[in-house]
Formats: sequence, C-alpha cells, structure tokens
Amino acid sequence: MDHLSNNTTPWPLIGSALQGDLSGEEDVELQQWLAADVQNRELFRQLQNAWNNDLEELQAYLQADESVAWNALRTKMEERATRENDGHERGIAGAGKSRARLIRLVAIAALFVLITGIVIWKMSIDSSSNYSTGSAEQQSVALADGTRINLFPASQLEVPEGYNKKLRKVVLKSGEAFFDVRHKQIPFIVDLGVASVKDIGTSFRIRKAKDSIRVAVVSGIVELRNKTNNEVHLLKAGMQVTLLPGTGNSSPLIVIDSIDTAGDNPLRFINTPLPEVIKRFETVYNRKIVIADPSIMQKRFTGNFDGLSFEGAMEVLCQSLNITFMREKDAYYLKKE
Amino acid sequence: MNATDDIVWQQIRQRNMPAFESYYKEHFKKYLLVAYKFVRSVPVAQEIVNDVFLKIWEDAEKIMIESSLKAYIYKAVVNRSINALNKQQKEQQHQRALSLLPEAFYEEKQLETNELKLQLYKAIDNLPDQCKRVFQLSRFEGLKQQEIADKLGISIKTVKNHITLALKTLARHADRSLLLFLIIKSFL
Repeated sequence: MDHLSNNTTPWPLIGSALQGDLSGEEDVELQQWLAADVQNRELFRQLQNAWNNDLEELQAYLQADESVAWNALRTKMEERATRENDGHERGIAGAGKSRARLIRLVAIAALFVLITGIVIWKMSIDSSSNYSTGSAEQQSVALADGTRINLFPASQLEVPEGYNKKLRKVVLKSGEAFFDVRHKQIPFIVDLGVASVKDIGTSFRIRKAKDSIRVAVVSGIVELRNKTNNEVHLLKAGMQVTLLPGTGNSSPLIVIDSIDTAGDNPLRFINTPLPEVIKRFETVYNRKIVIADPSIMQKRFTGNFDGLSFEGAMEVLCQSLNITFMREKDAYYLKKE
Repeated sequence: MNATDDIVWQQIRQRNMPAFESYYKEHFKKYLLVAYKFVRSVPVAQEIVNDVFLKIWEDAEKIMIESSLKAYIYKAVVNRSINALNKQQKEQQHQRALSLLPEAFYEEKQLETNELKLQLYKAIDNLPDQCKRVFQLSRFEGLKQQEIADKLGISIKTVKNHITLALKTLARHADRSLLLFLIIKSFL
C-alpha cells in the first residue's frame, strides 16, 4: 500500500503500459522503475492481473440498475398474481359453487385490486417525480444535475427515479417545455413516446401535442430519434423539427426547417433579447415598461406567456431572468434582483 | 445461516415486501454479475436474477435453506444461467466449475471473489464522473491518453491525474485480491 502515498510511482506510465502503448523512451523509463525495487515489480504484476482479469464485468455493473430491475420484478409479480386470481374466478364459475363463496372471493379480488392499486400508487409516488401545470400556469423545475426545465401551461412531465445516476431521462407526457441542459458524460434524454430527443449539451424546447411533436433547438445540438424506425436526425441551433406520427404502418412525417422565432403568437419567445420581449409586452398588455438597469439589457428569454395575465407574465419573466420589477405611477421599472 | 440472513429470510417468509425489496436492491448487482459471467448480456442476466427472486417470494414457505440465503440464491442463479446456455456451453461451464475444487468450496470462493469484484466496481462507480469516463475510455475503448484528452476536451495533465486516481483504486483492490488468492492457495 506504500505505493498509494508514494509520489514517485509513475501511474500514468503504468496506465500506458497496461494498454500496451509505450514509446521506446517510456519503455526504458518503466523498465528502470521496475528494476529499482521488487515492490514495484509486485505492484505492476498485481495491476496487470487486475487490469486483464478483474474488469471484464465492470461495464455490465455500470449498466445495470437495481431500481429498474426491481420495477421489472414487481410488474412480473403483479402479472402472476392477477393471472392466478383470474384462474380462481374461472374455476369457481365453472364449478357453480355456492353464492356465499363467490361473494367471498369477489371480496378478496376487490381487496387485491385495492391493495395493488395502493402499491402501484405508492410506487409511483416513491419512484418518480411528476410535474404538471394548469392552463394558465408555468413551472420551473431544477434537476439535481443543474439542468433547468421550464414547463409551460397545460403540460405534464415525469422525472423517473434514479435520474442523474445511470441515466438522465425525463418523460414529456404532454404539453410544452424548455430544456436548458447541463452537459455531462451521461446524455440527457427526453422520452416522447414515439420519439426521443438526446442532447449534446444544449438548450431546446419541445411541444408535444396529441397529433404532433415539435422540437426547437436554441443552442448546441440535439439528436432526435424516431423510435418506429430508429432514424436519427441531428438538429443544430436555430433549427426545428416537426414530427407527425404516422397512422397504421405508415412512417411518421418529419419536417425540418429553421425556427420561426415568434410564429403567430406574439407572446412566444425563443432566446429573445429582453428589450424585444418588453416591446411586445407593451403592445399586447398596453402597459409602459422601462428597463432601469442597463446591465440586464443583454438578457435573453425563452418561454410562452400565452394565457397569462400581465402580472403573471411579469412574475415568470423576472423569475426566469433573476430580475425584479417595481411600479411607479403608470410605469413598470425592471432592474437586477 | 448468519443472524442477518436469518432475519431477512424470516421476513420474506412472512411476506414482508419492504424487507424483500431492500434485500433485493442491496444484493441485485452481486447476483447480476454471477449470471452475467455465464450469459454475457445484462438484460438476460437481469431476467435470470428476477426469476430466482420471484421463485423465492412465491415458494418461500416450501423452500428449505441449508447453508445460507446468499449461497442458496447464488446456486439458483448459477443453475438458471447454465440452463440458459446451449448444450456445448453448458458442458464447458460444468467442467470449468468442477475442474479445480470441490463444488461447495468452489462456490464459497467464487462468492468471495465476486464480493471483492463488487467492491472494486462500487469504488470505480464512486469515482468522479470524468475520472470514470477517462478510465472507461482507456480500458474498454483502448484510447491513448492524448486521444482521451482530445475527445473530452481536457488537458493531458488532467487525463494523467484521472488515470492515477483510477489505478490507485485498482491497486487497493489488487492488494485484497492477492490476500484472497493466498488464502485459497493455502487450502489446496
């Protein structure tokens, strides 16, 4: 164990040697170190052995997830219990047993369904976090890894248990959200049912409606995977994709074009400079707004104020950009928080 | 059976689901590695471990455990894994398992080796994310240190620091493995 605190142990050189990747000069250096001490040779031999023989299953270990496996086991257990229960009921009907016994078994079945329901409900509470917004509400969700999600009105998002451990996956069930993803080695994935979106360090926004999915990339690159045929599209900043799921056996229709920054909704913003946001606020809400602090002029906003009151929209805007507003007479003044 | 195993086993027999879940989650990866050694597929190995646990839960009242719960599950996982292989693979595995040591002794040592490996993997999993990634790229993708630096956009010095940290973790494990090897050797 002396080697662990010994600063002269040439670890990177040993690393290259274990890979069989030493230059002539490095090889000489390693041989000198090996020749210097029997303990050096013993350490190298042990490491070589561990490197070659003990790491075979490491990838499998890192890939496996006990929570995912447990959920699979629970599903299996419940299926078996349900099948067993069905079998009992059929047996009784066939045999024409007494009414009292039937009632008893139905009561047991009902109790089973109730307990299963409670277990499933409890599991869903324990195992994942669900977020949903009302028709005039927005929510900002901060995830453990620093990723930020703005959930727009009438939207539902699930963050499954184990997020940021082996996997960084969230499920956008419906509605619209803006994702500002903290880049890490583990890719960030948004599951959309028929498709999935994987980031490569970026911010993007997704709207999932019943009949279409739209992904707009604000910065970086995202990868859209069409699950029906595993087709992959890489989208760069400023691009958007609209996916219309096919019916029956037909493939989904995928349209890629550049982002229409506002579209026909004046209160929808994608990476829009604050002065531009304010200008549109003034027009739509008919209020006077002044940027009182020049240092916030450069801030940009992405979000949708559709359906929000003026006060609600101002609150969302200020929270998102870490700024504040105060009212004096008929004007609103914006400044740093 | 040791005291903790015994308590858990009694809880499982009493249909104590939280106890069952906690035991499963604590030991899942250990048994997964056992099955994976045979079938070389994580989903298949998971399926095998789950089948064993399902059977234990359903038949707890009928099962008689002679040695330990751990050894019982280990043996069940090995048997199911061998069943999942084809005939030729089965024969090879059988010969390999019996070639050196008496069956019970072999199982015991395999379990200990497996525990040590598990500790090593946990230690690697607990390394900082970037260090873990550097180590994986070096060991499994065979990238040279400069190539790793280029791929991850970090300096070669940082790569060397990560390699040092990862190899120290491996060295700690190698020390313990050597001890186990010497113990096994002394029995032969």
